Amino acid sequence: MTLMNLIGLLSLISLIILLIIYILKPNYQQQFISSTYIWKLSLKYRKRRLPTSKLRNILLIICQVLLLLTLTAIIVRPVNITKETVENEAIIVIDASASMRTQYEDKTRFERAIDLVKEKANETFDKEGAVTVVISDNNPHFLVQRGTINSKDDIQHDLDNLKSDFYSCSYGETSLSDSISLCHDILIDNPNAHIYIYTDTTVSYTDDTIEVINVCTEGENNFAILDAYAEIVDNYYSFVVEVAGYGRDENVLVTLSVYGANATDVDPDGVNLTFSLDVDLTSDKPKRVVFINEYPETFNEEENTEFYIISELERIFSYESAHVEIDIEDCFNEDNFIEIYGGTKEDIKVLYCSNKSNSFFNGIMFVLRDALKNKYHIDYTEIKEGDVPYRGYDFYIYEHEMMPDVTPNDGIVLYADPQKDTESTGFRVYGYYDLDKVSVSFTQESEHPLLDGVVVDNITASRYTELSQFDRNYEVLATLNNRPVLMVKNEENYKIVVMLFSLHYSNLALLKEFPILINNMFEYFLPSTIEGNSFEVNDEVKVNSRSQEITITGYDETIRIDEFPSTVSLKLPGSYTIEQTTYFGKNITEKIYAKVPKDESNIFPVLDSLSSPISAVDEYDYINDWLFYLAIALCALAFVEWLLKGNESA
Amino acid sequence: MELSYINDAFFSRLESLSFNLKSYLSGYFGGKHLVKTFGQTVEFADFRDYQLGDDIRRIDWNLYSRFEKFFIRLFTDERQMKVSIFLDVSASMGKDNPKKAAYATACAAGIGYLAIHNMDKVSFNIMKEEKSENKYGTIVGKNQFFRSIEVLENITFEGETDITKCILSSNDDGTANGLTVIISDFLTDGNWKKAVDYLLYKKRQVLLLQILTPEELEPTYTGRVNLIDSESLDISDPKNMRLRINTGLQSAYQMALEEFKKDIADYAKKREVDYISIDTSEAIESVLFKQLLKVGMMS
Repeated sequence: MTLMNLIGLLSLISLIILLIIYILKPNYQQQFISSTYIWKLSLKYRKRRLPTSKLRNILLIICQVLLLLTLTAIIVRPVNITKETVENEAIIVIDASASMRTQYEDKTRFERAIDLVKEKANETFDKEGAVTVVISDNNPHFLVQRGTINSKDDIQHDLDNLKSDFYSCSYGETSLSDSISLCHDILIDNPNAHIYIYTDTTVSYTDDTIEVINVCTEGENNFAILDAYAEIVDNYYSFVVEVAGYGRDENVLVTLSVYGANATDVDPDGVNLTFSLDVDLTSDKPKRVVFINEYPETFNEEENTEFYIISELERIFSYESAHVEIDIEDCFNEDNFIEIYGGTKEDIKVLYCSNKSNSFFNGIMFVLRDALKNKYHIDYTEIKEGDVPYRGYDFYIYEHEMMPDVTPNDGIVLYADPQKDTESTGFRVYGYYDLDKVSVSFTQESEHPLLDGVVVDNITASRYTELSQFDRNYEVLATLNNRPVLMVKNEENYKIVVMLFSLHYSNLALLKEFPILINNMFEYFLPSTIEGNSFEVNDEVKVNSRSQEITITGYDETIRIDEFPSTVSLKLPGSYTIEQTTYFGKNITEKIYAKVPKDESNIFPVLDSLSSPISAVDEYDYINDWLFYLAIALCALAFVEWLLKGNESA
Repeated sequence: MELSYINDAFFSRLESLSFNLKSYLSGYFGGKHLVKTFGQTVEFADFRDYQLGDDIRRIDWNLYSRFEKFFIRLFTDERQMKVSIFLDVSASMGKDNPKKAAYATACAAGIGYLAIHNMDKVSFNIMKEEKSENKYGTIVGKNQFFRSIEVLENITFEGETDITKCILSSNDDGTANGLTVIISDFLTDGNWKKAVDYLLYKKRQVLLLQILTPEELEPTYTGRVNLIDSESLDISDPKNMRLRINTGLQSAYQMALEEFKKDIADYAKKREVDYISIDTSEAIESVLFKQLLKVGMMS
């Protein structure tokens, strides 16, 4: 039996205090009363004490003693260590992060590590020891757990497989501390086990039980694009590229190729543009390369930044994709290029038909066009008279008497104050009901995403449209005088919102609820498939859809997702294509790029320290183990009780 | 006395009440109490045969004309009674609880005023240790009564009281001449019942007024407690008790208290003595207007 935390024995002092309190008979409190006559009489009515009632009186102290002993046990963490089960036991951790793919003289660091691990395993088996191998990637796991000489061949085979399997070394990051924590149980069983970490990370300080074997060799170097992205400056795109060189000083040519730039209706394919700049990379310091239309005002203040000025003729207002690369031979190629997407926005055509058009819908659409400019290009059309279109738009707003003959089934439809019946709407207009200029508040009828952030009670109307009937597929969101005033239908072909009141007879247009409601319609019916276009390997990417299924196609695999929202982890660096056919039959293709994590491009990482696995876990436990806090809380409660008892006796 | 219920408003509320005493009392001439003997009032009561020596002016000549026989007309009699109030001024009645003392004093004053207001005589007997003091003697009239109230208000509650010895040694021992009120908490080892028996022997009407505080009716203290009796001489006095009060003992206290009150009530019922137990948390008016009314002593 070993106590993991001897300081926990201090809690026994509280036990001694408790016993002293109980041993020293507490003082009786003085109570002045007029007469003890009745108390004397009451003695004959007092029930004879049973042995159990005596026990009950001392039950409190028994419970408190047991509680304190339990708390002490929790804090001191006694463990039964079975010593000397195996004399020579090696716990081997192989770093499988992306930087271990650094290749020099036809051998990667990972392969070199595996060769060293095989040697160490053989050495251990020769001493009749046991070997545990942990692969430290983004999800640390055991390759072998406490293998002995009997499984020597299997272990060798597994290690050889690691070398031959291209994907055994990840393209992501790892945490050596987490990998060591995985070995905690083994170290509890055998504290003599020694940990060997085969990594390219330089660890400044380690515990005696840990030995770090650095698998780097002389001559390794890496030039990398750490990050690259596009941003809009003065309505044109500029491109920012972060580059760095590690292990070698060199002049590097950074090339930006933009494809499908400035596509228009006349020239739908656009043009391809290429820009290059020589960058001097020294002392492992990252540098920014900015491809921009003109020097910014802060030009002189920017450190480690070089600018490439794009000529006026080549300025870019849209692009399909951009490819950034550095042209140099180094030991790790996966970070020498990056694709940038997101240069073209999806077109959303909005139609507003009204015989008495108001500026509120116009205004809200201009606001939304600006707010959603990173996601959509909103094309807004307004019709005040003539034929009412019902095809070819993504978002239809029909107001008052400007109703279509047929309800559109290729976009979202908002009927605002409908005064005429339309085919396939699923409701029939009866007429309007006037409340004699008295504004009445709406009542919310259901929790719906369309009402997120909308305080329905704030909305009032003095006139509303009554329906003679509406089909059951409509969900009533709000009512006025128990009559529906806001309804939604979300079917595969029909996505309809009905506002059964006029903005002229309501305060809605003056409230913040109006833009929120319209924005919610976009968010609900036109959700973004993915937030952003650039990710790092192993990032959890949230995916949404406007269809029943989307397909994500990467380098080696195709993922189909039919439940939304969902998350996807991108295991390999490179471009991924996301395709879907919306409910309205529109084909949407989006591209994203997963790059090697920025920190992995630095092939000479440094870590301050690695603690002993047991103490590391203990430290973790102290912070996160609720039992520890429970113990402290119970101790505090016990003391409070004694304190109260003391006050009572005083 | 710092705390006092006695003031003009208190007495003015009593003005509308009258005292009812039992008719077997003989009392003194004058007064307002109807008694069962016949007297000289104008209220007709009965007839009886004429006997030699009767006043011939009281013969009913109408009856003689009808029956040719002499009948005498009898009239009701009204007497003045004496109300003797014995107030226990032991320490348990108010040494540590001024409210209880004030309450007891107010009860004594209230009953005294009712008597005076009904043209009865009153005497305040302060029961202290083994004898009772009656500083003002028999009080007749309101002027004398109000002067005596000052004495009542300045009583010191201390020591022990032997009710029996106090009453037996009292000079206030007329026969069948009125009401005796004993105001006490009766929390005593002494046999006060002897005193009541003596009063009944003297054909006096007796009212036992027991004053108890809420702390006495339902003690709230618990745990390890050293109970110091207000009548104890020092900390080692056997009257003091050291108890560990828990819910069991509190229940036993309630049972003992109920038994104690029941014993007094049974005794009083058997002897046709009126008994009222008062909680000082009740308004003093409720004693005078409700409790006394309930036992039929007030109308």
